[in-house]
Amino acid sequence: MAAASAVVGMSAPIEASTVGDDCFREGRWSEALDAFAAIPDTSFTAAVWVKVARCRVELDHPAEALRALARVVDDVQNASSWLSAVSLLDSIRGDGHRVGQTLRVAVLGTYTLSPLTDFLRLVGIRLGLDVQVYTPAFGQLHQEVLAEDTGLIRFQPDVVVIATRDGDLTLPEYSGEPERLVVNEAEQWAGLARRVADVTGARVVMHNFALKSETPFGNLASQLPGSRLSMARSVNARLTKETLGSEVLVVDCDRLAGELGKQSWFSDKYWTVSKHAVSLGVQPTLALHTMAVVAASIGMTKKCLVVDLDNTVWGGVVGEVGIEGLVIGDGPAGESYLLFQEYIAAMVGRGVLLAVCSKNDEDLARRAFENHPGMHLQMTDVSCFVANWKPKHENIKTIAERLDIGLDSLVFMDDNPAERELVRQTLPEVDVITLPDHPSGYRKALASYPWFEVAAYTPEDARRTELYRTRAETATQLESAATLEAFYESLEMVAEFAPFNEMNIERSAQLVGKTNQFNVTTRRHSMAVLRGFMEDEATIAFVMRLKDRLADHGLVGVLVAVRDGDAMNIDTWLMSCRVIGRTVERAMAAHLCQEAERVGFTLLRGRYVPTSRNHLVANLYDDLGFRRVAEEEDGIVGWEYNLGKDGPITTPYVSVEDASVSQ
Amino acid sequence: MSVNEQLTLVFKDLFGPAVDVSVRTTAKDIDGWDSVAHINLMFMIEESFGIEFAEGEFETFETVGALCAVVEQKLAA
Repeated sequence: MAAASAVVGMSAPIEASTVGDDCFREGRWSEALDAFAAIPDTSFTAAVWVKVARCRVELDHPAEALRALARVVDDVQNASSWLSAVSLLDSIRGDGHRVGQTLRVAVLGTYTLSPLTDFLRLVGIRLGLDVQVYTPAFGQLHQEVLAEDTGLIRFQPDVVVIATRDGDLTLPEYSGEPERLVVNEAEQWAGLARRVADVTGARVVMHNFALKSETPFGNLASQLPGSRLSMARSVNARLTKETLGSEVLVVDCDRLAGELGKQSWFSDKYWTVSKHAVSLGVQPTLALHTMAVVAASIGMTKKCLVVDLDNTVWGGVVGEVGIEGLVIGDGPAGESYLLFQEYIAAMVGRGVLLAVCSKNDEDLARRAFENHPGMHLQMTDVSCFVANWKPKHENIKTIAERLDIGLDSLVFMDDNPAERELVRQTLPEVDVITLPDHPSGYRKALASYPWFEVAAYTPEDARRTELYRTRAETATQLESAATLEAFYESLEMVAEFAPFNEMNIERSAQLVGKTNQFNVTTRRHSMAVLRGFMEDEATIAFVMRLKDRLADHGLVGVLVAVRDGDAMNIDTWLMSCRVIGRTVERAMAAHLCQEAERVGFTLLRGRYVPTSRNHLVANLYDDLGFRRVAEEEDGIVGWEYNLGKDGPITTPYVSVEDASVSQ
Repeated sequence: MSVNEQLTLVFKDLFGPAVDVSVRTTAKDIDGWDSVAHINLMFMIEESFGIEFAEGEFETFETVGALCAVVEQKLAA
């Protein structure tokens, strides 16, 4: 529900934060806590959580202090706050307070491993683990592994992290025999990892090589198998293959570095000054993802995503605006919800369970979920659907019971900060993802959540996603499609037609108002006129939605034909530019033929009215087999098509699905 | 907040609230101010003030007072 987020005014968080800071500076810890409590979770940064933790330490509330420190971890943007948090953590620990179950983690590497190791301990708090770290003396990686009775073995680690860096690779800038060097290098590192697993009996978590992008070959480096960059990339790829299915798990640091930007990932200054191979500013991200893989390796993985419906998976409150008033798929907000739904569906495909927890009439919520044409998620994606008027924390407990999984394997997403706060306070075991104020950030918020990480992908997970895999395989066919026909074929386009109705009239009006290129008459009809078409029995007025193997394009076509003597006269025909050039217009023409015949017409008439923008459709009628019958002023051309003589227009590459909702 | 006050807060953030900082304080006076912590400290000062130390500047401060003077100089530049 959106209303609650509007309650939090623009200035409230800033004010609360200022008041809190003042109290904090003056050592009025309880008052500071009260002030900080008024800050909405979307503005609650790592810096604020550190202050909360400090207040708790001062008030001698160690358990609450640790809970606050755990929340620091959810904000990776501020490494300074992480350093302060580590300092507080050490003081709490120094006072003899138990911080969780012990996990012994050894970290091996050839660069300065602090503060990385401190950050691993901090992230441990987020998992309820007291991470104890061992690092050998600087640069002793190989010695520790190869010698007997080393500190590493005596430490008896549960997990060994191998922290690599680009500079570890012994590759020249260019080699005439890249294959041999790559195999050697990859085998050496995979062998090292396996040996560590053997001698320690621990799980091994290995950083792949975050690769510096500087190369004297420039862009050519990617095309030269013998360039250092190409070889290093091959080492990463081979390393993954060599270690797959073993005790060794890989943290894809090169992906993380790419995501944050290699300019921020590496700092030559800190390398020269202190032998940090990774900038201090991004070490929170590195520590977080390392611990996510560690958590996966010991089976601490979240299993189920619990989502709200209204203003979370779709725009609008269905109880207020009705199913037809919901925003999904069309327009910027609608596309954001669609992007979010697509990512949720991808998670489901990977094996994450999905549950719905919504304050709604169950029947209405289900009908909206199943019938709204823009919905990407399907009922078959949902393991447990709960919609009623009970408080959400009660429903979340019900979901955990029905799925027979622990509350600590649930992750809750809701746009309403009040619901998030309720669940955090009543069910501390449940993780709550803070959604940003705008739906365009929802997908990212879910994708950045690290605790769904798994150590393996089993055939059982895969079975659910067979459909997706087949689709992915056909995607490669697209690249190799030899002819245009094969390309159209490979798209697997499916069109869905529906007469004008309350659910599509707004999007239709929007397209009528703005479409310039594929628009034969460019008539900018008003909403009132369009509604007139909807009610007029003598008019054929329909919309087309288009899906293909790769995407759901939403509502992309509008056609209106009005009775004109013995013919159906095409008054308006337009298509969104995102589906131009793939024969979809034939599907619309075919549907028009069908509708015209149904109401007893065999003659179609069309006019092309040129504008400065619609040259694209000058030959549309000609291409479809219409006959040129009139030339008017201003380049306007009249066309006719006789269904009786020429037969219906066919559409070889687009199949047609019945509209699921067309009341 | 003066540069000196802000600098003191950074010290307290890193070395704990009880730490005593004056212009004459040196690394020997603070528990835990070793070479590793020194890099963390320099990073936090860079972030807090939005300044950058050159690689040659990391090991050049004898006292907190000298450090403060360099920060002030960088902020003025």
